[in-house]
Order: sequence, then C-alpha cells, then structure tokens
Amino acid sequence: MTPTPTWLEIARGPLFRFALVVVVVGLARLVFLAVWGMVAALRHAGDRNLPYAQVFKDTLVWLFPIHRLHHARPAYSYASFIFHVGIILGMLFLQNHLDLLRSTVGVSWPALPRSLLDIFTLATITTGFYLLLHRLYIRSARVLSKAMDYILLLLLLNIFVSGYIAGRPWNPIPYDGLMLFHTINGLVLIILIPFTKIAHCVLFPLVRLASEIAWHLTPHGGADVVRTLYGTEGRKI
Amino acid sequence: MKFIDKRTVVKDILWIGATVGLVAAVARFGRGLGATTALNDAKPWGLWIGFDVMAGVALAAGGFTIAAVVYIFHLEKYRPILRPAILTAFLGYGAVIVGLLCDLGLPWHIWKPIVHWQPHSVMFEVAWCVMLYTTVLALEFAPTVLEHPLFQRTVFRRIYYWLKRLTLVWVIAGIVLSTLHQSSLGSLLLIMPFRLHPLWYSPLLPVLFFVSAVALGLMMVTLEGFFSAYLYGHRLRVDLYAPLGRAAGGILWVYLALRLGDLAWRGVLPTALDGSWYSYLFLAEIGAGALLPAVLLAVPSIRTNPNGLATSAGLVVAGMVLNRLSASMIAMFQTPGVSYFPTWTEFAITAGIVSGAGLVFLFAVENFNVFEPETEHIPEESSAYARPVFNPETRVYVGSTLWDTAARRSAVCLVAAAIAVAFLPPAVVSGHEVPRQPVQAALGWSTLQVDGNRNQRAVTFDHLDHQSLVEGVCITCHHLSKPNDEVTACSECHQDMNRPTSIFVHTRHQQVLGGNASCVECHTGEHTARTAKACGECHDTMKPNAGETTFNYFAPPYREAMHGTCIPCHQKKATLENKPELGRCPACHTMVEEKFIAVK
Amino acid sequence: MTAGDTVGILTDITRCVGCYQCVDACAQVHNLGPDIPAPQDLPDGLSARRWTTILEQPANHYVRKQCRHCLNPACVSVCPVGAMQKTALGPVIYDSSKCLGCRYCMMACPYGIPRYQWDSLAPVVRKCTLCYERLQAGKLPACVEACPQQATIFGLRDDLLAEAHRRLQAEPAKYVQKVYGEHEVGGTSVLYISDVPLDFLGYRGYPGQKPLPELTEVVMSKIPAVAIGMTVLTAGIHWIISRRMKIAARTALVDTLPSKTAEDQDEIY
Repeated sequence: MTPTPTWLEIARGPLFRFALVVVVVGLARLVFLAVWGMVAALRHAGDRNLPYAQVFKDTLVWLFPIHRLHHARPAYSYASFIFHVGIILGMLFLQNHLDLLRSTVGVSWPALPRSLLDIFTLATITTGFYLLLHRLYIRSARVLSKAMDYILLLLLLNIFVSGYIAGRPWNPIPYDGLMLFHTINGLVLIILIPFTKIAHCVLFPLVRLASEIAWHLTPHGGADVVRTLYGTEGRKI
Repeated sequence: MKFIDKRTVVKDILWIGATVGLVAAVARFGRGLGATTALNDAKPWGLWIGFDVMAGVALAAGGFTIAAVVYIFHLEKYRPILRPAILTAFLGYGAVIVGLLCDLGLPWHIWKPIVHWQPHSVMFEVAWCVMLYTTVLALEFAPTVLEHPLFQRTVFRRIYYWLKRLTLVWVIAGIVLSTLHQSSLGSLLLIMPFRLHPLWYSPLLPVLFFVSAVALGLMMVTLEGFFSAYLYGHRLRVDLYAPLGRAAGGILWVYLALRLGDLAWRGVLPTALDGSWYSYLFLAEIGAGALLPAVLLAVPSIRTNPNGLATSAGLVVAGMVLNRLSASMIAMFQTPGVSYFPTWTEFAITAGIVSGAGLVFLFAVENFNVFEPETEHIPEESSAYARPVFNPETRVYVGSTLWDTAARRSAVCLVAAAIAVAFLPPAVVSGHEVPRQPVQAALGWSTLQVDGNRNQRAVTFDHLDHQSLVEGVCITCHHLSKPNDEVTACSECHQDMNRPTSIFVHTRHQQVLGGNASCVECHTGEHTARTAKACGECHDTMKPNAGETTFNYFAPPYREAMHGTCIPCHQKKATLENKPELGRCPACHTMVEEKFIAVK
Repeated sequence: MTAGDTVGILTDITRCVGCYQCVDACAQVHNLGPDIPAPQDLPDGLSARRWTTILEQPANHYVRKQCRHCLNPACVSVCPVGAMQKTALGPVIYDSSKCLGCRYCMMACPYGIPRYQWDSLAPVVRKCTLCYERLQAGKLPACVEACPQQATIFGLRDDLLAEAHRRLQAEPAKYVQKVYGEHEVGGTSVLYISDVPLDFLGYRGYPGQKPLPELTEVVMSKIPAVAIGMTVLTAGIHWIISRRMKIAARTALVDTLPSKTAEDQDEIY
C-alpha cells in the first residue's frame, strides 16, 4: 500500500468531518436563532411597519461597502474588500479544495483557474498584512481589537501563505510538512467560524434588518436587539 | 437566583444523548446494519434486542402491575403513582418499537404480522401483544392528555368520558396482554437450547420472565418516583413505595425459589460454581440483582428509608436488565473465531432512545397532570412571553428564557453531533469495507507455492513448465513490471487478496525528481491528480493493459488478478486439447491431488 | 404426506474430493456474485453470497455444508410472518416479500445455516433452497448436477435413506454406522454418510433428536387458556373486591344510623 501523507488523512478524516458539521450546522443554527430573536423582538416592537424594500436595498449596498466608506478611510475599505474577495474565492473555488470536498462529501462545483486564484491569493496576503498592521498601529483600531481579532487574522494569513507557497516550484519548505500546517490551521479556522465574528459570513444579510427592528422597539426593548445583533449568546458587550 | 438548575442539567444531558443517537440512527439507516453494528452471522441478535426489546419490555412492566393494584385490587391509595407508571410503560413500549425499527433489517415491513399470520411463532404472539398493549397504554394515558386546557371542545370531552368509563376494560386487557408477552419473551429463547447457557436456559423461562417482570415493574416505578422526587423537589412518598418494595421483595423470593429450584431439579446448579465466567455472571445477576435486594427489602427499616428503598430498586433494575441481556446476548455461547461487542453506534442508538423517552417523560410531567395533586408544578424556565431582564450595571442578561435555553441546548447538541460524526466508523464514512488481507509473495523458485493469504491452501505452480509453454515470452503473464525491473512478482503490485492496490507512490516521485521544484515536471496548471502526466509519458514500459484505454493506477485484487491471468489460457487449452479437467478448479487447486487423480 | 414422499440430498463424505464444483454451480445458478469476504462472515465459509460450502475437516475430509431442510424446521416455526416455508416437496424456502428482518430464524437454526446480507440497505435472509425452482422445472439441484463424483445425490428421501443404509452395510468398516439427518431434530431432508463423525455440523454439536419446534409448542398451546384464565381471574378479583367494599360501605352506613337494632341488620342481609 502506498502511504497517504498525514496532512491528507487529516484533511479528509474525523477532524475534517467534525469541522464540517460544526460549520454547516453551526451557521444554520446561528441564522435560525437570529431570525427567531428578531421575530421575538418584532413582536415586542411598538411600530411594526418595517421598510423592507429599503432594508433590502441597504443590505445590497453594504455588501459592497466601498461606496460608503471610501471617503473616510479609502485604503482600509479597499483593502478590506479585496481581502474578503480573495478569501471567498481561494477557499471555495480552488480545484484541490473542491476535489477534497467531492471525495468526502460528494458535492462539487466548477473551479476557477489556478492562475486567477494565485493573483487573488497574493492580494489577500498583502491586504491581510496591511489589515494586521492597521490593527496594530492605528490607535482607534487597536483600542477596539480583542485577542480573537488577531488570532483569526493570523490564522488566515498562515493558511494563505502556506497554501500559496506549497504550490510554488521554489517552495523551500518540505511539501508534506507545509501542507500539514496548512490543513490544521484551516480546520481550526473552520471550527471557529460559527463561534466567532466570522459568523458574519451568513449573518450579514440580517444586520440591516436587525438594526432596523431596533428603531421600532419600545423603551427597554434594547435587550432583544443587542442579543439579535450579536449572534453569539450570553456574550458581554 | 439559581444559576444551575438540576432539571436543566438533566435535560441537557438527555438532549445530548438524543442528538448523538440521532446521528447514529442516520448512519444506521443510511449505511445499513453491517456498517454500524457488530452484529454478524453468528450473533444476529445484539444490544438492541437484548436491551431495547427484552429489557425494555420488562422495565415497562410497572404499567400493568400498578394498574392491577389500583383497579383490580381497589387499593386507591396507590392512585398517585398510577399515571407515572402508565406513562413510563407507554414510553417504554414506544422505545421498544423504535429500538425494534432500528434492529429490523426491513423496518418498513414491521406491519406484516398483521397480515401474514403464523400463530406457531412466539415472535408473532409477541408482536401482536406489543402492538395491542401499546394501543391499550395509549388509551389508558389519553385521559391525562385530554385534561389539558387545549382539549376543552365537546368532542374531546366526549372521548374523555368514554375512555374513563371503559378504564376497567383497558386495565384487564393490559394485564392479560402483559402476562402473555412478558412470559413469551422468555419463550422466544426456548427454541435455542443449543445457544443459551444451561444456567439461563430452562423450560421455565416464560414463568421466570413473567415473575421477574412483576418485581422489576414495581421497582422501576419506585426508582422513577425517587428520581421524580429528586428532580422536582418533592418528598418521596415512602408510605406508598415501601409497601411496593415489600411486595417486590416477596416476589423476588418466589423468583429465586423458582429459578434455583429449577436449576437444582435439572442438576445444573453445580455449574453456577464451576468458576467459568458464565458462573460469575450468573452469581452477580442472582446475588446482587435478586438475593441482595430481596434481603434488603425484607428489612422494614431499610425499606422505609428513601435511600435504602432506592438502592434496592436500583439493584433489582440493574440485576433484571443484566438477566435479560444475559439470556438474549451475553450468556449465548460464542462461536469460535467470531465475537460480538456492540459498536458505539449501537450503544448510541440505545442511549438516544432512552434519552428521547426521558425527554418526553419530563415534557409530559411538566405539561400534563401526571403526578396529580401531590406535586405543584414549578416551571423550569419562564414563559416564552416573559421579557428578558437586562442589567445596565453589569451589561449582561440575567434570567432564563426559552431563547437562551434553545441557544445553549443547540450549541451543546451541535458539538455533540459533530463529535459523533467525527467518530463514525470507517464503513459508515466510506461505504462497505472489504476486509484487508495483505498478500505474501509466492515461495520457491522453479516451482512456486502460491498462497497469497497463507491459509495453507497453496496452488503449486510449475514456473519452468509454464515458461516453456509460453516460449519464454514473460510478458504473457508479467504484463507490467516496475521501472528498472525485468519482471516484477505478482504480489508486488497486487498487494491485497480482495482489494485493489494503488501502485503510484507520490512521495517517491517527488523525492526522485528533486523535491518541491519538481511539481511542474508532472503537473501542468492545477496541481491535482487529474492534471498529472500519464505514467507512460515517462516510463516506456508502463502502458495501459489490454482492454484498458488509460493506464490503471489501481492493481486489481490478487485473487482476481491470478484467476484473470490463469483461467482464460487454461480454458482455451482445455478446449483445444480436449482436456476438460484443465479448465476446472482442481487443475490448480490441487489440495486433494491424489484423490482427484485416483478418481480420474 | 409423509417424510418419505419428500425429496432430499444424500452426501457421501467419503466420495467428496473437495473440488468446489458444487459451490461454484450454486453461486452461478443463484447469481450470487463474487465471494468477497465481509467482516460479518463466519469461518465456515457460508454467507449470504455462498449457500453451500466445503469444510475442510482434518485429514483430507471434505464436508459439504448446506441447509438441512429439516422435516420440522425451527426456522419455519419461529418466523412471525411465515416467510420461511416448508414445501410439500421437501425444500425449505424463503419469501423475502414477507420478511421483517428479525433474524429469529438465524437464532433458531440448530445448524446455523441462514445468513444475512449485512452490507445491504434492504437486507434479506439467504440460504440454500434446494433449488426449488429448478426442481419444479424438472431439473436437478445445481450442486447435485455439478458434482463430478456423485458424492452428492438427489432423490426421494426414502430412497436416499435406503441407499445410505445399503452403503453402510456394504462397507461397515469404512463408514460411521449412522445416517446423519435420519433422526436429528426430527429428521432432515439433507442426509450425510461419512467416515468421520459429523456432529460438528450442528450448532455446538447439538445432537438432539427432538424437533425443536416442539419446545415452544408446549408453551404456545397454553396461551388461549392463560389468556382466558387471566381475564376471568382479574375480572373476578375486581368484582369480588368491589362487592365487598360496597357491602362494607353499606355496613358502615348502617352503623352510623341512629336506630341500630339487631332486627334492622337482619333485614339488610
């Protein structure tokens, strides 16, 4: 028998299944709880006439925040946008990732060309470092930052840098070792998604709606809103 | 303000159990019994029959015994424990049916005994009794549900009235059906004297099962009363349960006399002390599960002490469950070379069913008038409409709401489910697994002993002879050789008797071609298997085999490869030279050489 | 119909050369597919994919194992839906459209014959059918037809028994003086004669002569009586106690009456 490299066994083994269940069911749970919380909040709202069309439009607009933010902090907003695009494309449209998904779960979709993803990956790495420096050296950002913000950013940079280098001919690091690092970082990040702020990847469409409901609440109704805004429960704000 | 409510903890644990059970159940129905259980052709009955059915039915015996106490013997004093007993029995039978659905190979045929009658079968009788008794229990418990404010309409009131009026009919039907199938579970085993150890096998099995079920039923109701008292913070009605304990103790003495008397009469009693593990199992079951509680229950001061009573009840329950497990599973003789120990998925489904029944019990207790007037209802969590309290000082929420409960419980269940999925057996993840059987190289030189799995049934292969037959064209059989090898032995590539072997070694290529820089030597564009070069592009000798369009990276199983190489040639020769025996199995598998030749 | 009118198979162990032609013929006729091992298999080689097998018992003995088609089969008696049937012709056959999959037949078989399709999502019980379809079409069982040695022969059970006893008498030194299957568990349709004891074919060498179904029939026959008895008993106890309680209540009422005389009480009773 030809031995399977450790990283590949981990990438499709029990830890991968654990991460997959956590992220899929965990995110579905967050959406469910958020919607439930909002419905409960709306029931207590004084004025129940929500401007749904406006909320929907706002959500779409905020999906591309550059329009709103580039006046105040142009570099940050562009960097952040590119950073997000690179993450989504690199994670969900790389052929190797899709092969893994097809062989373990049996689902797949068309991949993007490697060369294109390489460009986006480089862009994500660059902007990722920029965002890290931004957090570290811009006072307003540093004050707002918590340990988890740095951890998540570092995890992402680990994953993207190791993934990018592993596929280069000039890679100076042993391939299997580097891929092990890439895989473990990736799985840890996936497991963290539904328990950290990365949950905004599914909760963002609800943010506008939740804050709109907040304006309709009766006095002392803030409780419901804050809970709704934060998909994570029992958390100190 | 209480921060940890014991009911919340218990419910969280039950929810975890139910969730893990659900994951296991999905695996069982998605992948079948083979992938999720340790059942095999020697042990076709396992934990689900032993615990969920055999023990489950016995544990639910409290329903008919307490009904008999209250309605037949008119001991009205015991009415407060009637409803919980009926509810437990109903949930117990529900659990039995769910467990059976998991165990049956074709669960969607479970209704077939209604249509296809086979009255000689004990199983047929059990099936009908369980079916009818579950209905009876539902009718007995229905009035409790119909008392809920939700069912105030006239039609419900009328149903309620008639159910109440016919109570005696249900009760008598329940007692008769229970007598029949509690004993018949023992009769199920009568037909297998060859399987069951003599310490358990007895012509009296039906009687023993019935008698022990009555004692067990009473003690189960007691144990449940103890737990309810603990969970809902009221005092255990020792005045009710102590007499039950006394009765159960008496029945246990009858049971012990019957069981030991029968063993002595049949002369098997000395086996109980022969030091085999069956004897220890028997002694544990009889000693700790029947004799000890019978003694404890005979002492009034222990019986009337809640802890003493609960201990005795716990011993009886554990002992009788062990008895049912032994009789249907543990004390069955082992077939050499085959063992059965339940997989975790089997345990998980059993635990999940019990947890589910527990949750329904707690739900019923909290929403219906199960404990009648003696318990005041303390809600675990405030109503869904209660406003959460936000403390501006600490900026955290205090108080418990339905939303918070759901959020916590779903988080706990999420992690439990993910862990369960992570630990699913390999056969569940990647389908039915063919067992590994690594191949050993053939022995010898000019004459080879081909015995891939070393089962001592070698095929003697005259290599020199065959060499001359194919006129030195090695490639006739050695269709493919490793690079730099003149001829590669069969077992080098066909490495497993029954499974295909991958013959491409990625790490080796990587090393030889110069590490990471070499990826582009083979991969163009994407670095995946699909974009790699075909072997033949570098290795001249590695071409697709006859009948293949592309080179196959997987060598077929050894058995298949050997048969595929030898048989076509042999059969051709058999017809050409009119020697039919050349095409038959014994031509090569000459384990009986002399005999075969002698007969020819 | 007596056991003699039914058909059966006689296997002479001394004639078997272990060529596996019967095993292959069986697999081919019943479309059983390749015999790839599974974790649930037993060492005897019988499985849902192999309905007959050859046990290589010590010293060049080849003992074919297959369903014995008992005259009073345990599997037929335990099946709750009658999926197992003993046909008038002799073979014990199985109807998967009735089967629940309770596997009681597997537990009850004293020879451990029925096997299960553990890897299937709709598993059914598999075992030798004595080629019932082929018999109805006037053909021999596949294994009998394939045997190059006539080690396995087919015929009426009576004829086979006669032939077996003839062989035992002809060469008394060669054979164990016993036709296996003549009396065990009430007799089987598949018979053996052998030069080695064949008790190992039974589950843990179970050699009982009594048909197994009789063990449960004893109990099953009592069920109507128990049912009626319990009904009468419980209803009776209920009635007696409630009547006594009524009388007691009335007595108590009478006791509380102000003008309590001996005559009054006499009137009441």
